[in-house]
Amino acid sequence: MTQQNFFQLLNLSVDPPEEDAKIIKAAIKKKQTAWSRFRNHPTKGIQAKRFLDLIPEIRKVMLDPVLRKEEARKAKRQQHVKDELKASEIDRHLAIYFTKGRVTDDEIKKLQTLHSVEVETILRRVIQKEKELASIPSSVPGTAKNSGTLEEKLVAIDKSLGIQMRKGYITNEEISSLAETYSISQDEIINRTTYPVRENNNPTDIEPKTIDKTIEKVINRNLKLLEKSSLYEFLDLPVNSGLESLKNRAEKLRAKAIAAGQKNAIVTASAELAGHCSTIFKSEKTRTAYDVSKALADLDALNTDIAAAEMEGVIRAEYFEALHKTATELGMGADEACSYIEAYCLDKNWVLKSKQKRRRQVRLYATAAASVFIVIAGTILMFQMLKHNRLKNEYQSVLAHVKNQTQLEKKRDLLSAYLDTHDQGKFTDKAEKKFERIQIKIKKRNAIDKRDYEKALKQATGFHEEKAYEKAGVIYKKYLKNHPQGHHVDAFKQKIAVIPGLIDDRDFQNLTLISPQDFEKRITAYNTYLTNHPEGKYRDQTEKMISDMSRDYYRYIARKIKINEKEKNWEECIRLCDSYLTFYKESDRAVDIEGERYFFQKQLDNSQLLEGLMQMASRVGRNNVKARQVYLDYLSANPDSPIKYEVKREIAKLDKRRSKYR
Amino acid sequence: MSEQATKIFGIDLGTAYSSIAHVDEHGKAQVIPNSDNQRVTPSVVFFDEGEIVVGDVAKENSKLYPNEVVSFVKRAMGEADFAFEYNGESFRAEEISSYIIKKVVQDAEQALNEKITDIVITCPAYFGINEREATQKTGEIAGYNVRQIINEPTAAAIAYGATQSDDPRIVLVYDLGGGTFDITMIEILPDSIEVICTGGDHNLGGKDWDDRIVAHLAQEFQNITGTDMDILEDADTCQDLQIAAEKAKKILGQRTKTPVVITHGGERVKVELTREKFEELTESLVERTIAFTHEMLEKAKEKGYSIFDEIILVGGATRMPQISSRISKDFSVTPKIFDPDEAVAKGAAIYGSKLSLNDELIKRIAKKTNIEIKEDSGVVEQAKVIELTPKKIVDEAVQEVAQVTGYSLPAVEESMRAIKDVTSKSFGVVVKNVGKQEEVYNLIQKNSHVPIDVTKQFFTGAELQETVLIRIMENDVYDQVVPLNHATEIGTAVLTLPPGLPKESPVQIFFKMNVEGRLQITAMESTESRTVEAAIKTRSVVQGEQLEEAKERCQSLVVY
Ligand SMILES: Nc1ncnc2c1ncn2[C@@H]1O[C@H](COP(=O)(O)OP(=O)(O)O)[C@@H](O)[C@H]1O
Repeated sequence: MTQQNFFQLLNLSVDPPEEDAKIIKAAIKKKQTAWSRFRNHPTKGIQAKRFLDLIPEIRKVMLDPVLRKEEARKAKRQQHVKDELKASEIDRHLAIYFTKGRVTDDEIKKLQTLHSVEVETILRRVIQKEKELASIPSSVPGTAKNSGTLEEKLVAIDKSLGIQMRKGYITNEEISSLAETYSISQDEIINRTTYPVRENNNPTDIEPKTIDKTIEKVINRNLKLLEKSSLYEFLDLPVNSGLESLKNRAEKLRAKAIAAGQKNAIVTASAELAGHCSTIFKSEKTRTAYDVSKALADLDALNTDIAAAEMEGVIRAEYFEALHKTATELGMGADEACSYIEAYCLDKNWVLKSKQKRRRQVRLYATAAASVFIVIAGTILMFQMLKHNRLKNEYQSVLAHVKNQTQLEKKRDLLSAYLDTHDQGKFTDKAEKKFERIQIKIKKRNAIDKRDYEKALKQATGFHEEKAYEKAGVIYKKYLKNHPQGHHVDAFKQKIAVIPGLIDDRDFQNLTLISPQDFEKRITAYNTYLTNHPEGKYRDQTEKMISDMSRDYYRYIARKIKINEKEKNWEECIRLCDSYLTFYKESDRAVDIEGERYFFQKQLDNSQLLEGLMQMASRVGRNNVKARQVYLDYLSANPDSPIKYEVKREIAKLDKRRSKYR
Repeated sequence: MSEQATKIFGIDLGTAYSSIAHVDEHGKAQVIPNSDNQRVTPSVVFFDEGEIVVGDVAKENSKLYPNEVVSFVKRAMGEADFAFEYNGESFRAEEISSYIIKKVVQDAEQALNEKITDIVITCPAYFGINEREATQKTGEIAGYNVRQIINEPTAAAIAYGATQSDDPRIVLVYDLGGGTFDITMIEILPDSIEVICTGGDHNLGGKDWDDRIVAHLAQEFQNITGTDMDILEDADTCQDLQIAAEKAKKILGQRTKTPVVITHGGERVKVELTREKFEELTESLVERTIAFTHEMLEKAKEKGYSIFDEIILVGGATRMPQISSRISKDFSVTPKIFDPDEAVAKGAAIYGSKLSLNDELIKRIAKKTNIEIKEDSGVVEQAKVIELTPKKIVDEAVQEVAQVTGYSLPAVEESMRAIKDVTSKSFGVVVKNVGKQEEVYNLIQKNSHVPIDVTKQFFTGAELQETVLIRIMENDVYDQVVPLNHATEIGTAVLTLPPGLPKESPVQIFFKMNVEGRLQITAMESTESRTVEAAIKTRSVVQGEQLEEAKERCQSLVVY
């Protein structure tokens, strides 16, 4: 990339070149400070960063006499180029004025403000232009469109299509007109473009959607830094590329930019642009918006020319031709150029003095030449296109098949069959590439498959050793899920199949490990086994173990019940009864235990009743009289209550306390 | 806390906001509020006539004195030529950042009423050697012992791991802060936290979202007033809009539109910013984070990790609703927003407490076993020591440490959880290939686990060669061989050879990278075993006299 000249960057004199190291150092320091300040500016930050990156290089060059001299030489040359560039723009505008033979003072003044230059600069250009005009005969406009190579024509067509996109689509009419002008089939043109095509121009169309102005500016700023004119150029792909290839390329460029690993402005700009590409080339709709914006930006040159031609609200007839030329150079058709300029002037309320006759002539001339060309070139092109189309169709149908296949191997075989049966050409090259890519994918997938398999096997073996078969199962299943077509699917499926048996063995074995004295644990574990293994191998054995311990268990329960009964721990007593009843409902002793349970339940109810009553009594406060009344009320309502003795005892307690505090 | 164990604090030195945390007496990580009782402090520095003001006040002043205020200085970390001028003096990014550290530490000292000496600072995983070194220097300039620099996503994962059950799982940490973006895959196991892969962009953060709004506002100003002047040329307006943009961004997370007022040159323009517009303006930024995520996942797959269990979002900018919804769309999991402002500082604090508890443990084990252990032995050697010591002795030591430090037993045991990180860059040396072309040969590959030692034999190119120039290069490429222009030089060394060596005499190069991602390089010539150590010394990091001056200056400055 051409980079800015250091003399200019540091605002140092080039003619004569600054030599004083002190002054140069000071200039660098000053710029360093300024750029550092702009380091995080919302729009200029990236440019500032780029300049900061340059500082080591600037020091190296500017503080070395030899390198500095060379830089000064370049500076002069670049200044020259820059002047030229500006001059060419002034010249273009002067050319408009010169169509009437001379330039007026007003026009010079206008150019002066338009280009913000000294009046002398303009005058110098005027003198130069006069000399040129005297020596070169003026050329005939609007010819030679259909001469030139096919390549040149296609470039011109692309340009023309690009500028038509300012309304958001192109029309069949425009295509047929282009086809005629360039003697190229309409199909060829349609094939070249990804722009939306419509039957007709619709004057009632609403304005086409453009991309957001801010985004456009951000993009342009970054493009400028990389010296590119459009995102297509940034991606180095033709404007008619498919969305997929645009996106893929953007992703590649992003990865490449990042891989550069350098934290400089160029990298950042590339990464930013790649990001924009992925949103702009997301859909045809967003892409069209971008194309429209680009067309409108291109039109700006024409608009400034028209503005330059305007003097006191009038555009002279002589100027029209020059404007028309600019418009056609931008890619507009002859008619279109006329109507565009007219419309623009109408919008601005400027009067356009045009010469109708000339317009029609140009057009007739163009059509006549075009029809001759069709006869000669059209036939050759047709033949090639037919063959091309056939091969293309075949290739596309293979592609569709490949796409429908889910298995990589099948995809590969399809492509390989296609390659075996077709002669080498554009499409087999593509197929070959695709084939290679699938080969690599297969290889990669196999490698991952192998690694995942080995990892899973290792983990699962560990779990097997710990008898954590369920966990091993999860591992196998995870592999199956990630590699539904993996090489080890069958092996793992088999392993999964034996897991229930292993779990059965393990769980039964665990039953035998429980201490025989731990009756409750044993009986629960046996029953858990039975519920967990409805088809278990050891069901009979387990059921026998349960019946074998029925006597022991009864004794154990009876003993426990006794202890708890003494403590009046009714709830525990009930639980113990229930425990026996769930396991030995059918046994002889079940009836006894049921009877006991009934008794305990009664006891529990009574104690809860009393407790509730006592709580009520305590809630009325310290007032013993009121508390006493709660009990008395209860007794008169339930004279046969099972807890009447207990209630009376509470009343007695209250009375006793009352006498104490009296 | 006892007197023996030094308490180590964790600092999240962020692009937009910074914070400090510690592990309290209950073993819980806590962020310590600043003097305004805020839990985060804007990383903004205001040079106010000989005084330094950091935080909210500085941020407010940036509108009035844009040329005396520095924001987002972290983006310039490790950049040799960034220089902020004030009163004829020039300040580098490290020095300005050190004021931020000084501020948060001072405020914490006041809040806790204790002296702070030792700190752990976090940095983006994506930082290279220079930026890491610069971060280390930042803490030193501020006058503290920087015990370690750890990666922000790792810190976040530590904080996350501490709040969760012990179930093993793999998490993606999507960290979008003020200026940087990191995406990291981490495996959390009961006894270790292991980074598998990391990637990201050092120039992508919440600020870029703000910048898009600012550019849009400037454009709207032009559209509405019909002028074509660039109002961002004006420093006051520019600062004003940046602050307004950040506010608007935050509001748009809650509401679908918000008004913004632009005042410039006596004109007042009101713009209504909708969430829809905002998302349109910033869509390409979100896309970039997604592209990085996919790329990282690809690399993880190559390492054998093809699935993950969850995505956690950290960093303030992940609060923008567009982030969660975009991630859900691509990865069909709902990401968890995890303590976005505090996770990193808390993780750093947990790491700090782990370091100090580990020190204690090791000291005690050394005493009990009579084994000599180097004072500065790394975390990994320490882990080895613990592993080799009989369990009974370790248990005793754990008990004792718990007693003297007042931490609970599980907290002390937790501190033994291993933390394994990876390097975010590749490192190599410049060699000449057969075609006599210079290229970079990578010895350490990006995403390798650290610590790592690599040795490789190279050969001299000429007969009677007297010296070998060893150029150490950093890059982002996984390949063994990298074109020279894809790598950045981070250091050099010259090895003097014995006289009279034939062509193609062997030279060994040793690369040793420690857990912090610091690199030590040694070159050895085989006949006489002469060696030379390459120092990673580049002009990108403040050093020598300049460093001492900066320290001196920082000591004498008052920071508010
Ligand atoms: N509610 C919010 N909505 C959107 N962005 C937010 C919100 N809160 C904070 N941010 C943004 O998050 C970024 C700061 O995040 P943080 O994690 O503190 O990063 P850093 O540590 O790099 O300063 C800033 O860009 C800030 O504007």
